Amino acid sequence: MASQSNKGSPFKTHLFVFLLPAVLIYSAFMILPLIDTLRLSFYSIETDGATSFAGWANYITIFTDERWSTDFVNALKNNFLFFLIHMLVQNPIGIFLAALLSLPRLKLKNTYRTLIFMPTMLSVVIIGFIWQLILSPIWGVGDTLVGFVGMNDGLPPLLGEESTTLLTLSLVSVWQFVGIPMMLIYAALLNVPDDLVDAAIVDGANQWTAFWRIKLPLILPTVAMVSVLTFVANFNAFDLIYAVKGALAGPNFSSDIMGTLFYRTFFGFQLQPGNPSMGATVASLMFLVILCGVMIYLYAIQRRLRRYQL
Amino acid sequence: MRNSRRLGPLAVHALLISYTIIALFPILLIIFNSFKSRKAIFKSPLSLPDANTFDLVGFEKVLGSSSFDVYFLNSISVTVMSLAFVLVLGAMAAWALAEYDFPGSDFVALFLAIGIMIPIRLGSVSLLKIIVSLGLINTLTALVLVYTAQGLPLAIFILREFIAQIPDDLKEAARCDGVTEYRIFWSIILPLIRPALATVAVFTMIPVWNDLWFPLILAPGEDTATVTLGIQQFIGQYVTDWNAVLASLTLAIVPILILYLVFSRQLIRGLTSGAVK
Amino acid sequence: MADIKLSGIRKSYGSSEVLHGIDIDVKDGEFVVFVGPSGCGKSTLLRLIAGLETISDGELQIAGQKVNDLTPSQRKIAMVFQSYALYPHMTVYQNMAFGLTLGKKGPLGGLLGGGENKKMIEEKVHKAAASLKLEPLLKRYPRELSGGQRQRVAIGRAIVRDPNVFLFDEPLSNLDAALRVNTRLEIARLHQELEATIIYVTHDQVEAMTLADKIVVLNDGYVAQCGTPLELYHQPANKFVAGFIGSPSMNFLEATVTDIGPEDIEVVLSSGKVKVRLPVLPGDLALDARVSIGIRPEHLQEGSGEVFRMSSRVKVVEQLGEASYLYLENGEDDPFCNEPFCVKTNGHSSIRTGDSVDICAALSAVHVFNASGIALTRTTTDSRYIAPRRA
Repeated sequence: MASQSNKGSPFKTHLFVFLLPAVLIYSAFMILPLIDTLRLSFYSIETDGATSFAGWANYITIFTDERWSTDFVNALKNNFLFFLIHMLVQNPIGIFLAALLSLPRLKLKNTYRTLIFMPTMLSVVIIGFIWQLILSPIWGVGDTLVGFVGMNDGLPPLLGEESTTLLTLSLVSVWQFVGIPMMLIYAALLNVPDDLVDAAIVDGANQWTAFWRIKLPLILPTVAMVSVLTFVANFNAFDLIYAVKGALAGPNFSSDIMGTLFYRTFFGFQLQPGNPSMGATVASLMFLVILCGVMIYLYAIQRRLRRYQL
Repeated sequence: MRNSRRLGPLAVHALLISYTIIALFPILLIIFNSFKSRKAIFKSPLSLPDANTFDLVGFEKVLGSSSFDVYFLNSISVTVMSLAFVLVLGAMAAWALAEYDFPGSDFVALFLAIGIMIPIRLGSVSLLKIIVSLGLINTLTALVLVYTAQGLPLAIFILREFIAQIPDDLKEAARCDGVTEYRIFWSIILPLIRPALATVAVFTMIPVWNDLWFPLILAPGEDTATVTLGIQQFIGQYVTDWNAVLASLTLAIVPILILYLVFSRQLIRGLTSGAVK
Repeated sequence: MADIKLSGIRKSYGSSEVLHGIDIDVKDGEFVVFVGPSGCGKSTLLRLIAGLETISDGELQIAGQKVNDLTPSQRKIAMVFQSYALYPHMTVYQNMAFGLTLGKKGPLGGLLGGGENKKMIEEKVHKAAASLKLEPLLKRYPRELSGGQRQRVAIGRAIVRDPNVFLFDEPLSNLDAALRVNTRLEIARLHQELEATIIYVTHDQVEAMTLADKIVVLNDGYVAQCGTPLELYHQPANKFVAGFIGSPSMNFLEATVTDIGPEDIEVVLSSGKVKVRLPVLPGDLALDARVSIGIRPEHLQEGSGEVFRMSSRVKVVEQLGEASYLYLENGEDDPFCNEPFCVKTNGHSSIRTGDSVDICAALSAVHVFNASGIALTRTTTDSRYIAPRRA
């Protein structure tokens, strides 16, 4: 019986029984489509459905054709802004909350953690609608709220103006996902031995200096990991913009990011028909951006940051 | 000195309470207002519903004019099926990778890890093609297959680390008794990795339930719509009917909220267990 | 340097009190060891003195000043942790200098440095490093050091701060046996050199006996006894201290009082076979009261003279070379209670398992404890042997 064979024997049926189903599904519905998408980006699809090899033509179109390049550059720029806001707002707040929660002998910490994490659990679509309603000038609840803090002129239409839409949506996303960096950093902080903080306190530090000079340097690897997770998630984002502003990512594409550009290119919108090969090209470029981010993390950051034996 | 020491915890609590309010207020605002009449929604959005303002008209509208029950059933089927596949197939593959040395095992592990970082969405163009050619467009099966592929990499990664920590003696003892590898997996390994399975279940379930992208491109039909997609379409349609919009959001939020509060302990333990370092 | 005074120190977590009113005086320059079984509260007490935990009730004075509400650094204490607690991301030099770089002078409450000036810090660190032979290691990280080196860095970090009081929390428990002896000697040397007040927590009575000027034995949140090592060894105040100090532990025999004299009592062992007069003040002891008799293994010897004598069969012999331990049988006729009864003999002893032996002890080495475990005052210290009478 093969199933009773020892580790050293040449052929093991059970190995394939255990491994194959997962590898097959994963390859067929994840790796194959990814590779095929990369392949498709080098083909063009005629209106009759026939495909022909096009070399770099699609990429050249995206970067040189004025209509395409404006859209692409706009989406890429917006996406970097989207990411930047997450890095500058979401992660610092997450770290700050985690630092508060990890203070010794804090009461109710589980309750705070559970409640603050709640928005993260909900669908991005629902979050999008919730904020769309709250910020809606028709309802006016936003005006009432800012009235409490002395802004009597009410809220400007944050989701209606080119200058504020992307920023507002970024902050909505930040509001929803603050729980993730908070949890991951909190878990890392728990692994910092209490003795180290005690030693710092005896050395004359307070909780604040102990955090900055002892705890934070020790959890930098986790901070780096949170950053790359943020990067991947941000360049893969779509749902929020689509739910609130639709595929056109208005007004006037001011909230367009890579995900919505990809969707429009692939499926078409208004008068422009969908174009699978251009869609594949946009997807391939997204892939490239994400790959760059991950590589920078793996080679530049993770290698240099030392994991300390805690 | 004495003062600042006493003040410390108070300030910390004040900060945490403020942020908790920021996190919860928008959600509660929507839920409260969904139980109010249209007039009250606009006149006093910040007050709780009372006898005068209480009104279920929004819920009647939603339940009457959309198939919320169908959406829920679809979401539940897709989530449960995907979860089952990810857990069973993921645990099997993780066991194979952790336990057996075979040529290329490192390569297979690396190959499976790619999907942790690279989002499956990027392959959507070809994925749509494949699903169409399999005749699975507008079926829940398509979603289950895609979500299984999406969930497997992280599941295998976490479970493999966990299985590697199981002492060899347990397995060797069973092998000495002549137990088959299948039985070792099923009767010894699976029960031992239950805590890790719970963690993986959480990581798998949330993105599947909340996803908009794949229902939108692979199964946008009325019969196969999930809650997330159903809500998106319903609200697009009834955008001016505030009662209906608020009620539909509440219907989507409340079940998750209840589930979350019931399972939050496990969920947070999973998140903070360090499985994703 | 400074003296420390603890008066009525209590500590509770929620509704459970773990320290029930501790009074201790530590003189300037004294080496005091807190010793006790795990869970007795000794580490908690140390953390209270350090200022890492808040004192629930009572008063703590250092150098005559009440310090209950001061931070650890304001108390001018330094602490060496069991895990050493070296900052893993800092070099040895940075570890030792860390405390000096903190200070209110710098911006953001010392966040960006500040504290004392660089040159002074350098001087202090090098001086401390020199006294511990740490100079070649200053540029290394903690992970590149051996256990003993880490230990020295931890001590060095404490010395640099030139504190009023050094606190040591089980500093040797992570070292192997050989290194432990060396480090113990090193700490003793440091104490002499620095003339520092030291409070040292350990569960190891050998460390306590060898290092301490004064030992505080803690049990279950109370001070069981406080005194010099030899006081604790020769005059344990109660059964707990008697059993805790000394290795192997003191043997205890249960007995009943049969006669009470003005300066002695007569007891019969629970076996009923041995009757003996013991030179202790009876206090409020009554006839028929139960007492415990304690004799240390090293105060028992083989012999069958006219002495406090018992005979039994040997169950186990442990040969250590310099000495042998005989564990005697608890048979049916066994005069001993159910605990192992141990006798220390010389290493050349030819007694083997299964042999019958006669053992005897000096009267001056016999301790008597009343039913609540309190030691009765002994009225003799001479080493006269007395003969037991068969009952």
